[in-house]
Amino acid sequence: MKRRTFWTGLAVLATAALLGTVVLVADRLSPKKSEQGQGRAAIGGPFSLTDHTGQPVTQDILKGKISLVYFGYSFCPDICPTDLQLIGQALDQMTDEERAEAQALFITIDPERDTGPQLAGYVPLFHPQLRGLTGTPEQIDAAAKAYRAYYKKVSAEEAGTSDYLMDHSAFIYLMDRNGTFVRVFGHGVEPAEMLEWFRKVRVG
Amino acid sequence: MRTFAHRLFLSAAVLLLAGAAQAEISVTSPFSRASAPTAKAGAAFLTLSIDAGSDKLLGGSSPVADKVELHTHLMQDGIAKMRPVDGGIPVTAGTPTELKPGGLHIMLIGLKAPLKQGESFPLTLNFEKAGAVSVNVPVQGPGAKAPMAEHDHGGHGEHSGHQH
Repeated sequence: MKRRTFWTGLAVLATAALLGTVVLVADRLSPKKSEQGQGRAAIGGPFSLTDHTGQPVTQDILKGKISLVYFGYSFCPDICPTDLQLIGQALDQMTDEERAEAQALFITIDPERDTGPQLAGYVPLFHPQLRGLTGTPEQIDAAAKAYRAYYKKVSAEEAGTSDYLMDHSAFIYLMDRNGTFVRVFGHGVEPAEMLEWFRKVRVG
Repeated sequence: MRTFAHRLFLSAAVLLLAGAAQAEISVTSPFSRASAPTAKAGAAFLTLSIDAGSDKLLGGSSPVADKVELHTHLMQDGIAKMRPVDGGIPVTAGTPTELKPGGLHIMLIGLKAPLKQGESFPLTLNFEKAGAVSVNVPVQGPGAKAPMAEHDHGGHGEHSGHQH
């Protein structure tokens, strides 16, 4: 009998915990809440970078557009191309009207390799609308910190390879028209899911 | 016209040769991704299988790159980490080893020319037992996730290289 009570209690607790988590997560992911700016997830912030055409840009480019922002590096043969392709597909699935309000940014965390000309050859592979951003190591560091993006250079010796590698977080950030963080998508997210959230943000 | 005996003899000879040689490695569904004009690296993906026993992919070479390395990707808490594979990639009969985006891949380092969609390039893989196996790798879109041949189940893209 005692045993049964114990298990029932445990089940109740587990269910409560699960529900709590679901509510918390749902709450955190609600775009409305973050639009109200209730001090949620301080992701995003000022940056000063240069785009792949050589034009200086700041966080102001987020204003008036709904943006998908990704941090990665073009030497990455695998994770980054996959995610950039997914962003490109999400853009492709938009109506012309929607696409005009969308913006896709690829911020390199490897400014040593990813110069403007390198990015100029790279970003159009995925979508004509994808904009590549680079900068000095300090500028990149500041931008990554603002977005809480993680990256770390792994030297060739340390990695045991012929060239250095970069460890990096692989997240796609959705930012609203005010440049406010809405939510993040993980590596390999379906374009349909990005599109769904884009539309939620678009209609407010 | 071949006689039955002749055929029998040939078949027996082939069987003997096959028996004498080591297990056969098949490299199927290879693909690569288009690269930027100034890209320094690319990747190739493919499936390795062996009809009996086991072998190990140790490395490779290709005229399109200075170096060919075996790498893998680890995703830890949303952090992508690419690392070389220590000690080669094992291939065991019965379970094909898939090198695919997000995991094991063949890293082409020091690309001599951009990889262009629609073209293909030769890649030689070196196995511990089977030795060199060559395969032709078609270049697909920049973010291709799977080989094109997948929709063509009839043909089953026998780009496979066999040892000689």
